[in-house]
Amino acid sequence: MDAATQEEHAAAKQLIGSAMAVGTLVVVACLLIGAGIVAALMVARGGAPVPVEVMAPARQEVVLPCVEGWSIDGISGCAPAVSAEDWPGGEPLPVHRSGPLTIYGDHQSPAIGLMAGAGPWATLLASGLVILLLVPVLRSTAEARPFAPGNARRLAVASAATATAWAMATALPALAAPRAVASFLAAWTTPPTATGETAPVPAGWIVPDPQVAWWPLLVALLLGALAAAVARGTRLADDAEGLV
Amino acid sequence: MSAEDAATHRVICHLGQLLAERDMTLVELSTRSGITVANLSVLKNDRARAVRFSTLTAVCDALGCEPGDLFTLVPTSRG
Repeated sequence: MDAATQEEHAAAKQLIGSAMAVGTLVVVACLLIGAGIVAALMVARGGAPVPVEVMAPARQEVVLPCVEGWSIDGISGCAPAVSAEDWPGGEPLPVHRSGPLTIYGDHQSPAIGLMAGAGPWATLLASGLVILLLVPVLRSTAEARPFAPGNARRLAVASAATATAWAMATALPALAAPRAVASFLAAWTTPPTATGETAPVPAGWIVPDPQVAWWPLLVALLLGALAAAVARGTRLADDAEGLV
Repeated sequence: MSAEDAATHRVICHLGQLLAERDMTLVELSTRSGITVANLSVLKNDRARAVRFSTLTAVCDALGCEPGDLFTLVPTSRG
């Protein structure tokens, strides 16, 4: 095999590898967007659990009040515990099993479910969109054309999409959490006591406490800075075009 | 020359005429001046938007001409 043929084979392999990488990225992006849409539909229709972050110490996976003599879900003997006569008394109770509180969709409206579960579906949609936007940028950069027309705009849109998804994933659950917790608590009563009586969960027992993750905003800012740099580079490249 | 370039300048390059007068080809001028054939072609076909002084010096040295012999400014059309 001569050198020219070997070069042709190497170029063909590189072309096939590049096409496969691009295809894989596009498929992954489409799957992410599809998963985001499905996740949004599921939380809107009440088919998926909605996570709500609540203030410690009632930051629970399953809220289990520790009452002396009670056995819930096969678990008994938690500590610290209060006597059955002291509850419900309107005061927060000691609980155990820490973790995020998960509210199932039976007790809230589609809008509240969509807002409270905005984190996952907004992240999935934005991730897919950003990958779709960055594929042409990566391709042109790999072809030694980082300032190809449209790259700055794509990066700016990716930055805006990331920032928008971050804002939605941060603000919407915070807005929905009080209503989601309220509707959940309104439909939930205490386990029956020895006399068969139940009581509503005391008001203020579970307080929403949304947490803010700042790193996506940093990613959005970096993408924005890159977009500005590429826009500047594109203008300089345009100026240099036709220079002999 | 693109429509955008035509709208921003009225400079015409006479490199083709100067080459013809000297019975010289672009390849020969490239060899003498050290400017690539691609850049000389851009200059000859009025696709250049800017010219470095170093390019101008090399071309004028190779052709034995002045910068003013290479370029003229087309008068504005009235009406």
